[in-house]
Amino acid sequence: MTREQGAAAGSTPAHHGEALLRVENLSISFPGRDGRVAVVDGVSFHITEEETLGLVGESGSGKTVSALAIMRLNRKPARVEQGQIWFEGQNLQAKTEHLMTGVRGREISMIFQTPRSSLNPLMRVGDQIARVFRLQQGLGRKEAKEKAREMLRQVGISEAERHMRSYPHQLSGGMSQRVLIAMMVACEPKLLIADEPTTGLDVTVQAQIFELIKQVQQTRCMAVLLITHDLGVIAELCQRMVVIYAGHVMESGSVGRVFDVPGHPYTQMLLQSMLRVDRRADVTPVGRGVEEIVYTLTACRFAPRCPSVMDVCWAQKPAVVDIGPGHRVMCHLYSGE
Amino acid sequence: MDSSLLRVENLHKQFRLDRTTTVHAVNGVDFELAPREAVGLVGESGCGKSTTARCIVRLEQVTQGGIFFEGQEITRLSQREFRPVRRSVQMVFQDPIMSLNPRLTVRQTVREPLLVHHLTSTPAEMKARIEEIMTLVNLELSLLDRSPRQLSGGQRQRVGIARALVTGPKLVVLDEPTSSLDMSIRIHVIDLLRRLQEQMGMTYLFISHDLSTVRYLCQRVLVMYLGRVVETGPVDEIFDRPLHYYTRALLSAIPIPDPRARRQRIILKGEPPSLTKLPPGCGFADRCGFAIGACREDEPALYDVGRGHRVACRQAAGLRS
Repeated sequence: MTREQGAAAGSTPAHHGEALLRVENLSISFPGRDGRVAVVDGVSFHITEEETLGLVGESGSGKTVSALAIMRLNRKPARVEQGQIWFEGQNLQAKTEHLMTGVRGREISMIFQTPRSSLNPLMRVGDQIARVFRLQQGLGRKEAKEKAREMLRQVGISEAERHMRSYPHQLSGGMSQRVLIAMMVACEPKLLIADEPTTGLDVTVQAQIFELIKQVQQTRCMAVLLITHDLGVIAELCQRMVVIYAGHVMESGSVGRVFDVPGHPYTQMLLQSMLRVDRRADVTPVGRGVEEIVYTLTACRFAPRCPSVMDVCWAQKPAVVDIGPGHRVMCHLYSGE
Repeated sequence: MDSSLLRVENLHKQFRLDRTTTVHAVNGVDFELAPREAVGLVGESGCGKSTTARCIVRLEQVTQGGIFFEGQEITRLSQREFRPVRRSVQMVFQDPIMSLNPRLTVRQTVREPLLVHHLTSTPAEMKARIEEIMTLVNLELSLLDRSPRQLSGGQRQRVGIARALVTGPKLVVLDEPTSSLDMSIRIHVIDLLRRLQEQMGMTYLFISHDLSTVRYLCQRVLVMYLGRVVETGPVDEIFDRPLHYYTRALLSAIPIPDPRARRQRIILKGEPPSLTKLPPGCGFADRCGFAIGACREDEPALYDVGRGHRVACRQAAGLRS
């Protein structure tokens, strides 16, 4: 498969030239009751430099598994069946584990939804950040400590001096995420993958964390892949978005277009089920509220929940269709013409 | 006489951790719920909203203060005396997998309250009652013999709701009932809760950090911070004209699913003070954009600023009048 063909969903003529990251036709399987099941099935998207791309989906959509695949961090029962991941023109799938270690952190960093479990519980916070500086930038012990202290201040931790000596369990969730962001920034990556970085945090803390990520992104010229289930977060932070359901990319495009003229019935359903804090809206739930995701479906995986389902939806996987500038949908409703 | 269904007066709840440390979870909360009203109790982790709820359903013993249900003070009733009240005051919990007994089937779970309160006299009546409540919460009768782990998240939460409503309660305390659900499922459960309230004429105390849902489901809202109510009033009034600096920050922090929505965001500095060492005066003063010296000296009262809107901030109340 050539790169042009594989660029399927999410491909826009980028403003600043070549994409930084390009995921092409990625499939990842897990063992199921009757053989392996493709939990991610032919996912493609790209991110350009300095852009924020939102990957939105509900539980079981495959968004985290896809992100882990970019970092080559998927563990055992998961298996990448096919697809390529291109980062700055290099195929990450083809790299040796040794070379991949140089990509992780330094080129692509990732922060997770449970910040505390990403920290070493037995090591003081200051030492953990300093370690990153020593490993990534080859700084000496003393210099690294000094840099770590400065970094803690930069990510808005008050009493940086005291928290240098804190252990992870002594930090709140918001502070732990700040520490991880500090460690990430220390690596100066070109791409940050943020996997639901504010799940479990309060909204005012969430606002603080996103403000910090935005700040870091602007000063360090970094691209961000933001994984979330919250369309509000997408609307505020992202330029483009990819909607994923049951391992299929259902729709992709600029945030403005997808919110204005959502093409896929799933996207429409998501947008219609959003309540807003700034006005009292009447919302009518769409669909029957079925939750079960059928990964074994070879056709459209949204068919069991789709309000506009047709016969063909059960028989055939829909093609990806352009429905506007940079706006693509995978749905039989648009394959007629 | 008392026209309220529930009245909470000067509620305090402290937890002793050890000989020297006490967590001051709830520090003087007052409010009333009228019959058939849905009231949101909002705030962030550690603000005391869940503890307040748990005191009302007597899952916690209050440290000080009174809770009156239909005029009757319930905090000092014995277990036996409380039983008839329990029938009228039910609770739906946040995590359905933790709050449903894994060894009971759906049928047994929903039947339990009927047995405890002797609400049905014949097996046929019981069967009818169970089937009626299942239909009401949109659960297929074929699920009755399943165990909780054979259900999806949305179905489990519906079972939790069915168990709470089967006794025909007057007051239902809902503690974050939809926060564990995916958004496309959440709206179905929220819509169900709204219809049930209208149909059955219940009062809701809806505990949540999800203010969008509160705006949709509730008529009034109480905003808590550090174990106190800092602002309260009709939902539209509070959401459109928040006065307390904390309420403003809280509302401005919530992302709006509309790329065109533009607003002034208030980013709060730092974190709330420790509940084991409450600061004197207003607990929010150190993070507040309105704070003056006096705020750190004495605790502000809830000032009435009209239209049922009250705010625990001298400065903010002054802005209004």
